[in-house]
Amino acid sequence: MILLYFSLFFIFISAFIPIFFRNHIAMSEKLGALLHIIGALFGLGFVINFFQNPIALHVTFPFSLLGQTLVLHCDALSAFFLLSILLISSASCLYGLSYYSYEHRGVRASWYYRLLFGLFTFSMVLLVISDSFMLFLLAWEMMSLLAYGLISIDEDDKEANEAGFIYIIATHTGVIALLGVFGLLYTYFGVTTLSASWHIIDQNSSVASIIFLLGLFGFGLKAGIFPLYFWLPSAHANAPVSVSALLSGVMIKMGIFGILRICLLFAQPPHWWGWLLFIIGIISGLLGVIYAIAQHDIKRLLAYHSIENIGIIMIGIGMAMLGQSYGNQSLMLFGIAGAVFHVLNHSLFKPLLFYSAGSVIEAFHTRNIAAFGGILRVMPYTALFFLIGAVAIVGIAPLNGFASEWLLYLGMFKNIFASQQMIILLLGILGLATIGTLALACFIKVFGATFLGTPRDISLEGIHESSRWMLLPMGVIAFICIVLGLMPFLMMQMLFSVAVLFGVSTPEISLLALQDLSEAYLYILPLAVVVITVLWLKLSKKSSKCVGTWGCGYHAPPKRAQYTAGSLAQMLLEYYGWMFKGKRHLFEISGLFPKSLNFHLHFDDKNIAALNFMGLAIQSFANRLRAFVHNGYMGLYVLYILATLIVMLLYVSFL
Amino acid sequence: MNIFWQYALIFAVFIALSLLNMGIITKVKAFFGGRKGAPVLQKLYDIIKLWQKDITLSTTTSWIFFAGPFLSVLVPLIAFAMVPFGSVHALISFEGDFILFLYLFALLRFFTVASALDTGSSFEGMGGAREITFSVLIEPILFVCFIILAKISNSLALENLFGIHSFTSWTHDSTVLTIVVFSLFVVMLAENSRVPFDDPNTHLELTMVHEVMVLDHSGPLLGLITLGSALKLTLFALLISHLLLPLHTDIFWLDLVLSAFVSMGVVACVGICESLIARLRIVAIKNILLGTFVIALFGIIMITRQSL
Repeated sequence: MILLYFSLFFIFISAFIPIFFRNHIAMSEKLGALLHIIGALFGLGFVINFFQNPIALHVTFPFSLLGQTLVLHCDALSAFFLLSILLISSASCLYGLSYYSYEHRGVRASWYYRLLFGLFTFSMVLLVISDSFMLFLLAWEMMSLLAYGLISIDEDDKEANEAGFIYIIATHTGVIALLGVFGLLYTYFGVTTLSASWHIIDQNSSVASIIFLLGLFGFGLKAGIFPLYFWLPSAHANAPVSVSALLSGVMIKMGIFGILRICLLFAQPPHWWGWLLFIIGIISGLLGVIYAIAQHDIKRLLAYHSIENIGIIMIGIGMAMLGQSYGNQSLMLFGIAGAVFHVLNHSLFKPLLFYSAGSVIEAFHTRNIAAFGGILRVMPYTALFFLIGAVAIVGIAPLNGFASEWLLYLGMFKNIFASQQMIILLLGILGLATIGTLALACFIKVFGATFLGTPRDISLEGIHESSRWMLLPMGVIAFICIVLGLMPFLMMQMLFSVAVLFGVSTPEISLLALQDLSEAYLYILPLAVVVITVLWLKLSKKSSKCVGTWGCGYHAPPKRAQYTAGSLAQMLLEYYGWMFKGKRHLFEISGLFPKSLNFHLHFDDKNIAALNFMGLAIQSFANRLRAFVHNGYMGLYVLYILATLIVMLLYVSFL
Repeated sequence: MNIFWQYALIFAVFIALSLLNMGIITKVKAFFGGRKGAPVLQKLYDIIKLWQKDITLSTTTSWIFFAGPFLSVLVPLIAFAMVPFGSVHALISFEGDFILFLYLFALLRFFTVASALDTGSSFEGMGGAREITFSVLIEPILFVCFIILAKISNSLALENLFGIHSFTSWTHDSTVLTIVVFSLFVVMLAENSRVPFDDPNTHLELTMVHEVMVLDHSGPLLGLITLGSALKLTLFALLISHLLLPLHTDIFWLDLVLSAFVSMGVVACVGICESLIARLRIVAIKNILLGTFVIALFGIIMITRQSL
């Protein structure tokens, strides 16, 4: 635990370094980042040390906070989430050195950003190890508010401010639900810490379902499950890239962390909870990826992919819960292991994608995918890292996204013929397969339209590869993605100790499946490397670059004639047209000399549109009600008072 | 026989068989068309010819352009290592390997489309869009087939899914197995750009799916793609032939020859299909694939009804 205190301490003071040394901002920015990374290294040391012998650490402080004793508790689940918080926050810190430096944004923005950023990381680390309800809520609230500050850090950006506003409303609606959860726990069961409330609620308790649903709402709002993700795309799209990476990679995972903590409260959950989580997972996954395909803003697209991945994680959690309620150990083990492994994996490849997209946005000052093209030639490393991230997130072999999805597949296939869960697992397999292929289509679109071909609305002249501070964190994360992809068994012990927490009692041997994967790669990779090297050496000598792309008879086809991102996705989106609130403005050519014509195609998110519509309807109903009740006649107000008095008198006299 | 040489022999037979199979399709189509047709080994001659040429690259391309052709040979070879052939066990086999098998082909698809988009040509983009669109419909069919086979063979390794369980299966679950064979056959036609779905031989690039993605590949790169598509077709044919051939004699040579012959038969059926059916409109492809998916789902229903 000492290492963790050091980590918290260093991260905390790293936030205040730039504000105290404003006059030497260039030096203090680097010093702050250094301290942050030292803190993260201490924390990682703690995590590695912890998993050598994963026994929960429990610390009670001799003073109280807001009427409750301050208790810290670190178990396998906390330690697992610490891993991704510390890794990604320090990567973002490095990336921010060049991306959010005082030279670009000014001295005030620089120290303000670093203050919020350091405290944001601090609050998340505190959140996962806090045990008393008060401390948990305090850390949760601190994290949410600091995230708001980071999203709308650019005061002149109207869109960002609006996104931040939606976010803050959403997050506070969630907190109300969480207050309900902890209030009920305290009132009905008299507990004040999370660790004391393990398995405290049995199935027949009258408040069990209420607590579960409130928790799912409160934490699900933060995680961005269907249909509560409405704040997520705009917030992720408008925040600075180094922050989006942290929001998407880590903060929304705190919602997952919360849902897992809620699951731990129950000894024997009813069947329908598992079904609910599972189906929410499938719908979030499918909707997220389909809406992602329709986006033309690269950051918004990545944000929608977060929803997709949260869906995949929820499928895993749903599996675990089904396993728990039907008493199926193997379903539980593979579900929980796949889910938390995917949490870690998503917190690696999503920041990687955000960083590389951020470098592109920095260089070309637009987020519109339709404008890009051919960027690979001027930013080869950024393109390579984006490619690695894309292959990983799509979940194709041999990168880490595949390893975690493979665990989920394996769990479902192993148990699909075990009677009651047949239909749901069949849906799960088909859902996961469809999500996978759709994600592939989406990332082909982004990668192809952004990095390949020829530029559409941008100029490549004078553009250079981004700075080393930006490439370094990308390189490190890409390396981790590859290592975890090829050797997923490295995570076996960690995954298993998390699963044990959830009541899995099968021997560790059953996760050896991850080793099978590595053994297969051991055969495949040498063959692949040899074949590719030989072919490359042989063919690169024979090739000559001398002609343009064949234009099917046209000598010099204009660059606008390239297939665009929109047209790549269009055919696929037509299949899923019913999911969209679509607008299309088709044109018809008429006359001998047609004028220049425009063509627009919009695919809008039907879920957000529906929520919007519902919100407006409620608002207009409330308006009318108010106008009816509060109509300005003095006599009527007196009547209200009289009526209230009579009702109260009746109440007192009869009850 | 030494185990190493055994596998080396099998890989060699696989490559030879795939070249031969392409010739068989041409011969069958020529027979139905009343023509004599190109020699059976024409693909081999083509590849040798292409290999000796130089490569002309478009100025817009990058290293991604090479990734597609390289993987198009590599992936079927790796995938073949997971599939049994004759009475020889698969080289790589573990529980759940068929998911790796499917996702390796996803890797191939990713890089094929990426190298098509690398040229910046509108035609190749069109092909890429179709490829990824149809793949969304094809993948669930394959998963359903594998679920059924997993149930029949009571195993999750590709070697057993397509292993020797089929003799008892044909007597007990013949309808379901027929459904699987039919679905796999449709998937084979769709994945390998055969006629009802795609026609590589038309003169109009606008109507193609796969062939239009490789317009700018020339010389050895085109040769690699040709070889790769032959390997992929034969791999699928081998899978189907494992289901159709319910017996093993356990004599190495005899099993090898039998497997090869049945896969040739499957491929001849492809040729017959190509001769009898006209190419579908692009719009109709969706309906066929969805229909096949529904049929495959019926298979699942039947197999679970039996077990209750």
